[in-house]
Amino acid sequence: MNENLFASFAAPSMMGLPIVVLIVMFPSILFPTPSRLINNRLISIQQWLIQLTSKQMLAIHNQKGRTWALMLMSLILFIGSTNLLGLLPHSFTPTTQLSMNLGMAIPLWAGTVITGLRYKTKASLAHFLPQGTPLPLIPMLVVIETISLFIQPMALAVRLTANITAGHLLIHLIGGATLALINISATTAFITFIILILLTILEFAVALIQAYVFTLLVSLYLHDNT
Amino acid sequence: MAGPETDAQFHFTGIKKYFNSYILTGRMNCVLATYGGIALMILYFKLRSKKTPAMKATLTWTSSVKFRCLEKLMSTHHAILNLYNKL
Repeated sequence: MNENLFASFAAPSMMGLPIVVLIVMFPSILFPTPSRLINNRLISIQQWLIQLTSKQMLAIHNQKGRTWALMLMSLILFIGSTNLLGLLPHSFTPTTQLSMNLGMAIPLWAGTVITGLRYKTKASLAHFLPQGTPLPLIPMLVVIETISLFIQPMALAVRLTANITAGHLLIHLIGGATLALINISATTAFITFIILILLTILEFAVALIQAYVFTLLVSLYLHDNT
Repeated sequence: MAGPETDAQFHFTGIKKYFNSYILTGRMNCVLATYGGIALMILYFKLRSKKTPAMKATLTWTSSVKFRCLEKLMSTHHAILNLYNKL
């Protein structure tokens, strides 16, 4: 049981060859490319959803920030689709791997910071000291703000990893408990099954919310630096 | 309710003109001064001598000619004692 609990988080391989790259690339083939001016229903719904999300997310940005539109939309689509596909039984979820999430978080965060330092050096540096800070507190606050800046990518990655991993583990545990309770007490097993259903619905929501939160935070860091 | 404060409404003189927590330039200078101070502290602790004055005095003594002669004398004395004990 203990070994099975974490087996789903191990890097998958088929006949000895790692297939994690194929799994990471798989969600992209689920989004058809629009090839006509007026497309079929599926592509139209996809376009409408992307437009809705991008309008809402890019409303706060200026001209410079909107150049990141493609990056942010790709990010939310990738994380959302990967998280949702991970809810299929016996599937591998790349976003449960901290290495993957750090690989997304650190370059995006560094990109926003470098953009800010490059185009708005004075404002970016001044950002480390809140306006109106009393004189004795200045060095301490500068150090605290610097530390909070460097914690941002770690928090981004760990938040996504922890949420998705915890959800998958809970589903595993409660599913296992339901199976174990069937022979002992049918009523308790039924109640546990209802909890499992509710948890699965919650996990669907968490999958989409975590994708939105990740992208929104990257967007906010970009907004601070453009 | 007051809106966001702009740099134009602040008029500082002296050192406060360059180091304050209200205008953009002042905040930037405070941040750079803090980083510079931290860098200087790190440099100071890295470059300072790790030996105490007592250790320095001992090392000076141990590397001196007098100490070397005394050391040779002691080793000769020990060799003679060992030979005597064997006999």
